[in-house]
Amino acid sequence: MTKNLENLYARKSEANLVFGALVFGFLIMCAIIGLIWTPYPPNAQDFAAQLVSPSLAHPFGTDNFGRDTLSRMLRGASTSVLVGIISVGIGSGFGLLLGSLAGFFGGLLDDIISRILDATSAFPTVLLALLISTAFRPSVWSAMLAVGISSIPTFARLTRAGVLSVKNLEYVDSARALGVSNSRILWRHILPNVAAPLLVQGTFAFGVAILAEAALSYLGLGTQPPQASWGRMLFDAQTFIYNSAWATIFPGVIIAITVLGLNLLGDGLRDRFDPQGR
Amino acid sequence: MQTVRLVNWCFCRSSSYTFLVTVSFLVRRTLTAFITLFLAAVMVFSALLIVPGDPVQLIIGLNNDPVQYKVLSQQLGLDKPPLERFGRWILGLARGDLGQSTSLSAPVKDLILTRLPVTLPLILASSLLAVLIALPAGIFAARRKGTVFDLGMVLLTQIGLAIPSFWLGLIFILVFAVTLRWLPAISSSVTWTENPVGAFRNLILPVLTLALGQAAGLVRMVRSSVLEVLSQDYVRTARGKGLLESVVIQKHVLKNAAIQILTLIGIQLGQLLAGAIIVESVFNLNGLGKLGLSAVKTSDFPLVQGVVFSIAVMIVLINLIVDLLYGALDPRIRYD
Repeated sequence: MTKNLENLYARKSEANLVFGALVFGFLIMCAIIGLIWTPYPPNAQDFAAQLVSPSLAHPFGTDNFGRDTLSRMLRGASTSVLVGIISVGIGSGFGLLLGSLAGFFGGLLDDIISRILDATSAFPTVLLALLISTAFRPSVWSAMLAVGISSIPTFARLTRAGVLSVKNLEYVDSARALGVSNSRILWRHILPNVAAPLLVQGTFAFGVAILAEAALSYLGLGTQPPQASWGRMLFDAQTFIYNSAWATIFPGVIIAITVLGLNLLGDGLRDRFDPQGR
Repeated sequence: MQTVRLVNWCFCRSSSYTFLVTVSFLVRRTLTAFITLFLAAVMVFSALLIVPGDPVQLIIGLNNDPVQYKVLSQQLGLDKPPLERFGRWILGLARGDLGQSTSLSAPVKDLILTRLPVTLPLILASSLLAVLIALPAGIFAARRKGTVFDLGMVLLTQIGLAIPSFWLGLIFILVFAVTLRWLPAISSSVTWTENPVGAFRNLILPVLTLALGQAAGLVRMVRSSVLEVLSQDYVRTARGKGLLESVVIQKHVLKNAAIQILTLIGIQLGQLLAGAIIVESVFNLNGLGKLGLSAVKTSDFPLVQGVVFSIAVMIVLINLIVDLLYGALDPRIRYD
């Protein structure tokens, strides 16, 4: 690579990192604000102000029940962040467990775990959500479970590959020769090597989770009314698309910017940890 | 000793050895696919087992009719132990019998078959359009790696990946149906035999929505596989021979990148099946996805399980076919 090109890529990944971190910080801030204070109560209906266009009193307008869109978007940010945290928690937790068991012990256990992961990947998130929400009734929790489970295979495969790449290195052998227990070898000597790719994957999975929650809530398989969720707001807005275009535009733009920010943050982190892999 | 070694050597070099290796790969790969399908069936079946409380009560709701209760629990097979139920279900699957819908009182298989003429054209047309957009865009970006054009294209795909498909659909409705009034906002229920023009018009916006989202991911993958081929020695040799750049791209780069791109298209078909569920909902198309969603609302377990399992089967089979084709198309790939 020429010097110029290298410079350009370094600047690009630096910009990705900064933009992504800003968006992520802003999202977390909105989520916290959405929990403690919103301009209007997010579920308060005001039939004197239905489908109002953006104004000073309602910067993002109101919906068909006269609920303030800005307040609902702030509370929706809390929902999105909650879904992101819980489903990435489920995905990375089980992924780490299954992946390290498969990679470390190998053999039959590896085969069994790999087949189960293959079977799980045969179900896209929407399909899992259909199954889970039929069994448990649709709710934000069934959506989180579906999103979390469908992210397990990626986390598990990353962990497994990472464990395989270091488990036969000399320093692990010497730890074993010293009589260190399996669980301690795994935890202290092997897993720290997997931390960086898992962190990068966690960032991407957070964005995927927010996107999936919005889609599931739009389909009626996620957050249930009157709780605020970006996807649900778009579903409500579709009915009134001829009267008020505003309601269709704002939540969608926010979802796109948030997911873009998280993806770029993931890209930036990956370049930071692995400058060769650009 | 010498002869044995010689025979071994000949055997290893002969095509019958390669043939045996290939056959054993085909068998192993097909077997894995069936194990995956079996496990997928177990997961789909378990959905009825994890219901907190009584699934029959969940379906009939507050309506407490003992006769209906008995009929329904017999229909779901709940009067039998889970293992026997699972055995019957699997045997049914093997015969292509997905059970009876509880809300629409028709065989699940027939319900699914009536929806395929809506979903399949949607997926195939979107896949085709996505490839038609992504191939030139990805190749172009790869050839101009590091230029403003390439960076712009990469940023554009990032934006495309971040936009929710259902929102893109809503924006298309806002632009083409509400503002320009070119197309209907909600698809009418016409079939291909009744009114081909109407059915085609129904598909325009959904296909555009699905294809654009899909193309965003595809451009990135095409770009990186072309970049990988471009860095190979044989490309440098071809350029060193003084071949025209267009010849290098057509004869050397595209031919080699094609195999990877085929894999991508396979993966993509699976994702489109999932994406179709969402997009059908936006445009009110009566496809598989709408069928599954309405089944969730009526707690119609056999129907949900049937829809989910048949889509999973399609995804596993597409992956299997792509894996098998992969080896057939590229003789350099060895399975031992």
